[in-house]
Amino acid sequence: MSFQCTLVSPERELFSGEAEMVVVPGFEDGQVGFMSGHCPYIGALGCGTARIREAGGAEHRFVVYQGFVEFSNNTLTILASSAQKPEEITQEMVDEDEREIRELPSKTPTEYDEKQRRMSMRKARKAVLAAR
Amino acid sequence: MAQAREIKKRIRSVESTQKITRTMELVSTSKMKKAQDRVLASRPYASKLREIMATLSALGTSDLDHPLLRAPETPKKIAVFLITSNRGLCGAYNTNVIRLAMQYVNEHREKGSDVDVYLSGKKAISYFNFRKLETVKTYIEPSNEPRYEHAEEIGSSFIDGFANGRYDRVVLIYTRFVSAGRLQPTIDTLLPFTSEGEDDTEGGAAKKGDPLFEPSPEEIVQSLLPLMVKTRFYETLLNAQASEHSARMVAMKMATDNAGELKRTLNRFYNKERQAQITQELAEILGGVEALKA
Repeated sequence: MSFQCTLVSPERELFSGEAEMVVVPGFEDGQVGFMSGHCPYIGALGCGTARIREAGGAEHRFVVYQGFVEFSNNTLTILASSAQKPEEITQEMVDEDEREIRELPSKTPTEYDEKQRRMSMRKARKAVLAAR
Repeated sequence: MAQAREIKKRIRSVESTQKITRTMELVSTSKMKKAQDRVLASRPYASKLREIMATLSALGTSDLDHPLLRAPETPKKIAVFLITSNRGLCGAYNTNVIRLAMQYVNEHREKGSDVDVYLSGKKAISYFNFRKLETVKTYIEPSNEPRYEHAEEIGSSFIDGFANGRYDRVVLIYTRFVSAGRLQPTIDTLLPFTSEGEDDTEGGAAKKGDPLFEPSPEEIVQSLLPLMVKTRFYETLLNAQASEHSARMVAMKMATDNAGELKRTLNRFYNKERQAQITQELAEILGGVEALKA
């Protein structure tokens, strides 16, 4: 049992194909998993790693940053405001994340949320780097 | 022989110019191709966003008054964002779009609206500087190679400006890429946001069962709208980029053809001049021989 899955960012399409299971970072906290036959779903996308397991068993990981997920008619669409493939992530990007996060203010709730998002982003990138 | 040598020199200079224009034409062709590809690559994202929006409006949740949807009858404060190129040698590309922008600005100022001008591209910046016209903010990077971050950054500043009432309307003036040979200077309204072109997804909106929302549909609409505005802004930047390269390609093709024409004419002159020289020399020799005989 598989379903159609596409991952797009404003700049390009990163993945399109048959998937068996997809796990994406959820809104605010946790993760959301999809398998064939999931009920129609529209939700906000969090920051972190999106995992797509293809019908053949191969697994792809992408680092995504905010957006939307939609599941309907056995088709999953992941709209990420920004997304990278694992091979595009470099040590420099992680270092830059570190620097920027240190300078981010976190006084108001919105600033705090933004910082939290950036931190989960850095965590995801780091994990991808370590896995390589 | 002086005259003929002069012409020869000019031919050589035309030739080297032609070489340059031909190269620029080829470079622009490949850059235009790339820009077109990027326009195409941005389509899936935009259309998917519209689909989600259509699903939401089918549920009747988009009736809520979002600050980005308010449309005052007579806009008093207008922001104009003009997109031109950073480099020249692209024919009338910049002239046309700047003329359209000036028309728009003057027209609305006469009607008594406040018009703030934002510029992208060195060509517009130098036009405004030279005429000592006022601008609010100028950008260079988005005209070099537009990235989504640019749209994100500039788009958010307009969204904020519109939401807090600083502007009643935000318009984009740019050159639309219709086809490689047809470029259309265009005025588009970015804000207030109108959802044109969404009817085509109406059929898809009638999906079985209400989808599960996380967070609530209202909250999703709240964050979806700014995203759609930014995406439209990004598409506009890409469009202008493709137009720029296309305009340069056409201009350079014309320059190359012109150079070829010029070369032919000069060559004809050169041959005529050379022939005249030979005839004259012959006449002189013959004259000399006649003189010796006498």
